[in-house]
Amino acid sequence: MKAIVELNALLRKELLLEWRRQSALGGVILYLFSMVFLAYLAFDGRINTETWNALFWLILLFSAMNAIMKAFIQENERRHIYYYTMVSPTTFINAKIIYNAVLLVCLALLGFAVFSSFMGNPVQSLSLFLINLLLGMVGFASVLCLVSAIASRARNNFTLMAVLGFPLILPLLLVLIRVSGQTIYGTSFSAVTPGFVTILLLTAIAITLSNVLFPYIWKD
Amino acid sequence: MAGEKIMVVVLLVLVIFLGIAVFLFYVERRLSVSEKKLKQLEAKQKKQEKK
Amino acid sequence: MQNFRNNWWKIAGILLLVWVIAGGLLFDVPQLPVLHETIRNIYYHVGMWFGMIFILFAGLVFSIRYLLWNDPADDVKAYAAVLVGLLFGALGLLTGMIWAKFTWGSFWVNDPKLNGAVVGVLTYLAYVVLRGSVDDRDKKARLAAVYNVFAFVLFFIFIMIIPRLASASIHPGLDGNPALSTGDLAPEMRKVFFPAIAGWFIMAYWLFTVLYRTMRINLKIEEITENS
Repeated sequence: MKAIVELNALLRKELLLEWRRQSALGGVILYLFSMVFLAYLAFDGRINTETWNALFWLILLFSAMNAIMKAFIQENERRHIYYYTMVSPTTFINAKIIYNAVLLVCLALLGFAVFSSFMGNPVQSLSLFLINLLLGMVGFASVLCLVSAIASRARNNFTLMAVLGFPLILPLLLVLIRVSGQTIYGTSFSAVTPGFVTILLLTAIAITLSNVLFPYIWKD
Repeated sequence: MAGEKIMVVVLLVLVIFLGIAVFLFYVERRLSVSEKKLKQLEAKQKKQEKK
Repeated sequence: MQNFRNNWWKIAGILLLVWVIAGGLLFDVPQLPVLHETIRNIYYHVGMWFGMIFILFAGLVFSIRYLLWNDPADDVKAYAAVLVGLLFGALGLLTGMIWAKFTWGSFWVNDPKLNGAVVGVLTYLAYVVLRGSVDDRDKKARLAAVYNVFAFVLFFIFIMIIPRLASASIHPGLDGNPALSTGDLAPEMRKVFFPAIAGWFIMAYWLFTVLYRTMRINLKIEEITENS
């Protein structure tokens, strides 16, 4: 029970921090908008379905990396020591994952809205597409949080985050893109189920590993 | 004709491979020498610290 | 060399690979459509691939041990294992590309297993970059170990599971097993293939031990010069 209370408290803290320091969140949203607009200009607003799919996910990926980088790198030393004494590392990392998952879902929905308005919306099975999006963002958060935690302890953290994160996120990304493509052309739930299962599996493994491994990074 | 060519390839690859193997043994010998020296050096240092 | 008892396995490995090189190129192979003689590549390309997985798995074990017991030797071993793994990975990709040119006409194809191979190499290159980005020795070892565990699990899942989900792959051995299929295990090939696996395992391990010893000596020299 104590763990859940602590989790709640941490989550609330994250939300509060985010609210106060709107510039960080604003930066991420601006990044997203800029990428979409850039794509719009580069492609002149006309793209085929495959490109739409790939481009959308690439933009989401980079925006997600950007967002999660800020999750770990912005907190300073003293506060870290404070957390160290207060909560267990697993609670901490789970709070980060949950918070960032929610953040990414909102970001993705916003991204989808903006991207569609500029590039059109070819998606046929919308509900399945959105479920894929949801699962995908949770998956991103679970993989990227641990990577961000590692990168934040080293120099060159922003570049390092991309270097470390990209190969690890790729399997998940490929499945997401494939399922997304299926939903764009119109598909049934049974057809995408194997994809969903894979995504959930990868996410579960990432969360488990993060829980097991994060305490070792914590000792600092 | 083809039979001869493949023999050349086989021999070439074998030579390269055996060359690598010989090189590895040579490196290992150098390593063993260095390891021995280091051990002696470390033993000397420990004796000095005890004094 | 000094004692044969410690080194016999290296001789065994050498003999095995001599057999594989000579036999792989000279013995008869089943004539399959498209593949023809290039099927011989299995002895080298696939063999090296297995060797890579094996040595990377060893790296995983060393990283876990480091996290559990904080012995710096384990960290050095993990690093050495990853480097040898990268070498074999690069060689595997190279042999794969040469084979692809002969079999499919181009050096690269968009296929989940090939992409998986590149992802693997990228992952472990990132490991090297990570180590380079941290100065403090303990921190470096710990972060590297954490990343290695995370990376290996995800990488392993990627290469094992994703190809099975893919609808179609022109890379041989699709029915379940990513490396072999019934045609490849013809009896006349087995007598070279299994020794190949053993041979490449031994070579990978040998390279690993040499690299580890070199690194360890360098570290000790650093320590001694720091202390004096």
